Amino acid sequence: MNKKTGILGKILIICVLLYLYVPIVVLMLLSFNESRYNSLPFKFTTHWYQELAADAELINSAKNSLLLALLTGIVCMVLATFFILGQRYLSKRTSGIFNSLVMMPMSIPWLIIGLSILLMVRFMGFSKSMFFVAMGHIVISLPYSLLVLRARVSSLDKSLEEMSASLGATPWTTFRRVTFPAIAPAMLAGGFLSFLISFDNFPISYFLMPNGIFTLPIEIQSSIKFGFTPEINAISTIIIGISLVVLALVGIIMRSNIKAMLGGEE
Amino acid sequence: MAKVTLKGLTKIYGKNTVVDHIELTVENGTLVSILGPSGCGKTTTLRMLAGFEAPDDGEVLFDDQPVGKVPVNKRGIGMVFQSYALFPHMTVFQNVAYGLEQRKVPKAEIEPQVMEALRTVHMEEFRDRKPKQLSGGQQQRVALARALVIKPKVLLLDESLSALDKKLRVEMQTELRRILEETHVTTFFVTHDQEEAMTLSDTIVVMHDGKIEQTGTPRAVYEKPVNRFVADFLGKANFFEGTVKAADADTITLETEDGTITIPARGAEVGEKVLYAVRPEKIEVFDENEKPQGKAGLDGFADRFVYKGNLTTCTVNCGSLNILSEMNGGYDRKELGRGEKVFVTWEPEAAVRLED
Repeated sequence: MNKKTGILGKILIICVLLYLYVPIVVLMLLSFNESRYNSLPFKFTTHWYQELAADAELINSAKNSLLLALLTGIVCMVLATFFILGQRYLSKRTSGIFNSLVMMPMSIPWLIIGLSILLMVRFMGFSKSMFFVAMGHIVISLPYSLLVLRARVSSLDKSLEEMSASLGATPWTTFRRVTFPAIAPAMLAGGFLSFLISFDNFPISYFLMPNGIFTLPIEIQSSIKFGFTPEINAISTIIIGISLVVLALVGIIMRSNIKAMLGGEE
Repeated sequence: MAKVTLKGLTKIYGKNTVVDHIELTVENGTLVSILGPSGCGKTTTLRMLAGFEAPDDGEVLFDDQPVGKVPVNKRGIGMVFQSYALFPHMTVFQNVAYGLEQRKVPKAEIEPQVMEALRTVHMEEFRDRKPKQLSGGQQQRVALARALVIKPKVLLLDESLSALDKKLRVEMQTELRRILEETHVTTFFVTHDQEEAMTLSDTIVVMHDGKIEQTGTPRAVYEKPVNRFVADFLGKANFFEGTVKAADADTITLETEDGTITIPARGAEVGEKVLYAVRPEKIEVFDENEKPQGKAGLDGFADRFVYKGNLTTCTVNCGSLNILSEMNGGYDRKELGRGEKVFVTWEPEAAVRLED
């Protein structure tokens, strides 16, 4: 019985993983396939990547997305840090209320958030601009930074900071030399998560982007309308590649930081 | 190095008065233990001394100067937490140097001072280790060195030995006593361990429900407890409570809830309601046929007789009273069987009269 459910469970998990990864792998493979219509037989080529390099619109939208995500990631990291550290000085009740309010965008559909921001912008007589796009991205990405950072800060030993104060350190020195080293990896990881959320975002950008400016998801969406070219496969493969590299980097940073904290060989 | 005074110190959390108008003066260079069960307000008192909590009433004075407006980082205290709170990303050396750096001690002077402090706690060869690479006892020593190197006016130890295992704890108690005698720093030691308080301190402050129950030397607090709480919390005690029916030179007859008893005791008038405590080690148990003549005491039956090597404990049922006796050694004592008829007695001065 037990063995049977074990095997069943394994099969189920394998199915889920296949469903998740096979399309991605196929997409990556097809980006190196010669056929314009994603058809077999497979013939290796880097043609689509050369094509991509020449596609100014796609490159531009990728740049836009990257800049937007970078900005969002950094702002979220800073805001989340202020928020989480400041929260510790509030009463449980107040901080609970603030918390629910800030985390709310996680449970409201992005479509609705995007639409409501658009309505507000219109209502107030502004026109669409990158500023509002960035605001929207920050609002929806902030909860992810907060989640990561809160997990770290709540496990932070408060007595470390008290100890620092008792040894004569000013609050600023305490932050710089004790708190910051302890939470820096989580800040970075949270910021990166927010970066990805923003980079990936379609609905907010779709509603708020000024006419004529595109982010990568919007560019991809609109080019699919005119037919799915292997160029899309190529850019997607590059994005996956970059994501994996950044992820690995963050992993290494966090690892080495923890190692340094624990002192060496562990 | 400071004289510390607590004047009507009070802390209230919501409806709970955690620390209730505490009055205490501690002379320069004294080691004081604040002893009490968890939740008695001892840690809160310490945190107000440190400046982590602001009192709701009353004040803390160092050398007769109020320090209420002085923030933690200017108060000149040294602190050791139960968790040690060593900075995990710094080496032992950096941990100890931290306080000196905050005091803007010139670089050239930091190293010798740090090494001196590490020498005091026998940790100089571990200077480049990270805290995680040290054992609990070693971390404890580093935490102590870090607190002492800044030459604090007052040293505050919060359950600092509680995380160590028994053997190491006893070692560290002796060590701590030696170091504190060398440095002559006024020290507050918060603990719930009465044995630790007895071993370490010049003065014991027993706290209960936010109030100080008794202050005195370990000997005074143990031998002359003022009330039932202190007698019970510091060591064990047998209690005798009732109204005095008759009193002569060395005995008192009490009307208790469970009948009339005559016990060896002094210092009460007929008609008074009294409470006496007798420490178990003052109580002697005699076999029925070795019963000393002409001594007051209680007849009863041996219940549990336990040989523990350095001492022998025996519980005796005297009617509804259970009397605990602890006898030194006990190598030559005859084992008492359960239900055997025995007689318990003690010297009249062993019975301490309590307030309530």
